[in-house]
Amino acid sequence: MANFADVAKQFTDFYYNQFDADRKQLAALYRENSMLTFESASVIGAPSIVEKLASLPFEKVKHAVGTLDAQPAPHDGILILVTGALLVDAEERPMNYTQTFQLLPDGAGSFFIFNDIFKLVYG
Amino acid sequence: MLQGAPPRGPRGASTTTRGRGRGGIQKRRADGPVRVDRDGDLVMDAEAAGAKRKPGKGRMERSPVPTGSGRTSGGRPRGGAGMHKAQAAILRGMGAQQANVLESRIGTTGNTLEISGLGSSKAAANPDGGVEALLAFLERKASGLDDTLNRTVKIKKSLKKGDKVIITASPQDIMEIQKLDGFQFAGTILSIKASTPIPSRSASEEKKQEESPQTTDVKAKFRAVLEGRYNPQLKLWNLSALAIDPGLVSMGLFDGSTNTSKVFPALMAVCNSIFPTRAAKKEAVVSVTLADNNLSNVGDVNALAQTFPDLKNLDLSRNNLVDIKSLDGWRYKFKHLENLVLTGNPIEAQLSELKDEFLKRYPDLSMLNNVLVRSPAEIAAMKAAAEAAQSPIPIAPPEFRDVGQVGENFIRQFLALYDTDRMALLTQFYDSRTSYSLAINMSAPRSHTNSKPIPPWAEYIKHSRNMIKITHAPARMNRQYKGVDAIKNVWASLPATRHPDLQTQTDKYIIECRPTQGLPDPSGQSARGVDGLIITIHGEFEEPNTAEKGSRSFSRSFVLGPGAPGIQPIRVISDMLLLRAWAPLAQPKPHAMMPTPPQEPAQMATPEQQQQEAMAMQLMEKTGMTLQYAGLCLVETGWNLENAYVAFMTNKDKLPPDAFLANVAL
Repeated sequence: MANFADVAKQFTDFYYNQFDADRKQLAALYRENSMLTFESASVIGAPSIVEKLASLPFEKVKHAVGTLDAQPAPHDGILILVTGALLVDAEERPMNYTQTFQLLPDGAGSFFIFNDIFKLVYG
Repeated sequence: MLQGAPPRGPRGASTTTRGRGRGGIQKRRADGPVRVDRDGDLVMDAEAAGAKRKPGKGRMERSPVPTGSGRTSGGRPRGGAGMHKAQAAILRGMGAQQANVLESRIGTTGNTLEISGLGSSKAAANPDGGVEALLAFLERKASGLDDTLNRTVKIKKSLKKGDKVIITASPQDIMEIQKLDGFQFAGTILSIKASTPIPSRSASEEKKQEESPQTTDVKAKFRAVLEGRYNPQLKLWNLSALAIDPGLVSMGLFDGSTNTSKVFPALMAVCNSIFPTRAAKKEAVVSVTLADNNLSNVGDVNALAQTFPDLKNLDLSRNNLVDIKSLDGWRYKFKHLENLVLTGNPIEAQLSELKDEFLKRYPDLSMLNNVLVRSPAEIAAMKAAAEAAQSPIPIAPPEFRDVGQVGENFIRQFLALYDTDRMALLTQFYDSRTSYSLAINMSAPRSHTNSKPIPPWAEYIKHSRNMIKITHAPARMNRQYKGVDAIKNVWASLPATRHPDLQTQTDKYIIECRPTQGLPDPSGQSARGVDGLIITIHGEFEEPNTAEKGSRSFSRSFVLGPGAPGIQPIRVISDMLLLRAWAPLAQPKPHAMMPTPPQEPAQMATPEQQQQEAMAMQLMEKTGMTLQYAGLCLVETGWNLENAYVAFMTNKDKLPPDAFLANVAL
């Protein structure tokens, strides 16, 4: 518990690096009961989530994390709120996004994503 | 240009005012010798004559001297310029606004040369009959003839007439090119002579009285042909199979070298005189068919795009359009095109691969070759998305899946109480285990159009728990506030706020809500946890009591769960506030998203999909649900419209408010 902030930081670093490099490899972070809501479209389960991520309408993507906040959550979980800027393909204008993660311990000393809610917030 | 010029009337109708009453060319001379026309093309004779010809000079000449500038030798006096020449002049004049198409707008006497011999050269076997090779040869040789010539000879226009090629260039260049008479080109000897003069603009102006009958006659014939092909009921102009039109054929327009690309600009010019304004054309002509014209490239009929920019339906059936390149001339035209038919063209076989390209080129396109490629809803969604933010990722409407209005009620009370009585809010929804933290995003991108000053962050910064910046573990811990008492102190130190009214200013908010599981049960009865909600509010607030009275944008995430029995019905487990510089939220349109089956490759809509779309639209109209919910409802009832409606009727009270189109409030 003492370490949840570090876990959150490590998690987001890993998540966004992996997302930007090859988002299809994110499957390992989700489980059967994980849920992703990307721009209001919800999918459940690691395979569907990765399909959804792979189908997003861009090739190149770069996340720049602006803020990261985390709180310990029930069942030794971690609640993470990230806001940042997203650059995709040739688009020059970065887009504000917010992403909420609910992490749960996987019982093997690591964490998986239970809830993942992504929303673009334009300004 | 012609829109602005009075149409050439019958002979008697022509005014005698200089520069009036003769269509486009005269028009631009009305104010004196203007050397550049509106296309930016140099008006050759104006340049040559401008310096030499005084106003009025030669007006009385019955027969103008063709080599008026005297620069070229061997200019033959004009004579025998019969019907054919007159037509050429008319075609040229009428098409004058389409300079890029109308190659035949050869300048006039003195600046044109007639080159013979191409037909017997080896280059004649080239696809273009060798014209390109000949022009390149002439330019190269002429430029190289004179060492003192420190410029490149440039041929401006060319027109192939049977075996002859007529070229136009500046008087200086004409002189150089003429020296090539008798040169050998691709196995033949070229003969270069001053072109048989056709009436120059100035000459024809002067000779107006003589020429009018022919002009009028040709124009009247064109008009008759066009009027016979126009269907006012359908607002359709049928321009198919022009080459076998008896009227046009009888005018001798399709014999020998003349083809559709030469006649077409003139036809468009007459269309322009029939419907002189863009609005009139838009109203009167919705559809055009150019079927059966043996077109290998739309460049041949480019003038259509200038004449009818607002066309909705375009039929190019049974031409010879081979690939997407043959349509590149209209790449950026016809922005309102809805229906494009390419049946019977070689390109037809590639349409499934080219679909996306067509959709990109024509934002309103819904039918491609009689196949629905985009539904009206998709077009609306695309436009909404494009308007909203030019976003590569479509913005979806917020997803609000509430449970028994718990989320909605919480949000209403929270926003009201946070502005007016934060302590009451804490008492009502927070408890000793609530976590609260806030973070500031100072690097959130803002549109460059938004230059509203950013009020200082001083009051917030000491609480900001942005772990990107705060890396020291004790600082991170200190900035996480747990329990009502700790939160109370922070909230008391934060500036007073005023949130926009949720009922009347829904566009200031994006609120999402979804159920979650496994929350701790305050009653301790359920070891596996209880259900709750995750709510995210994106919005803005003012700080009415600060000197700046500034606004800030925020995103705030809550985790709500059931409260301890007898104390609170619900409680906030987590509250995370994120602040950033103020920027307006871009809102998606109400039905901006059509539920798309996952990983369905973006192919031509199958008949099944079309049917499903139609059903979803029907259900949407019947129930007032959004297209998205209508789609979901249909999915769940196996695409049975009746069952879907029954399901809607039985469940409509349980649907979240944003399931409905009239999305007044949450």
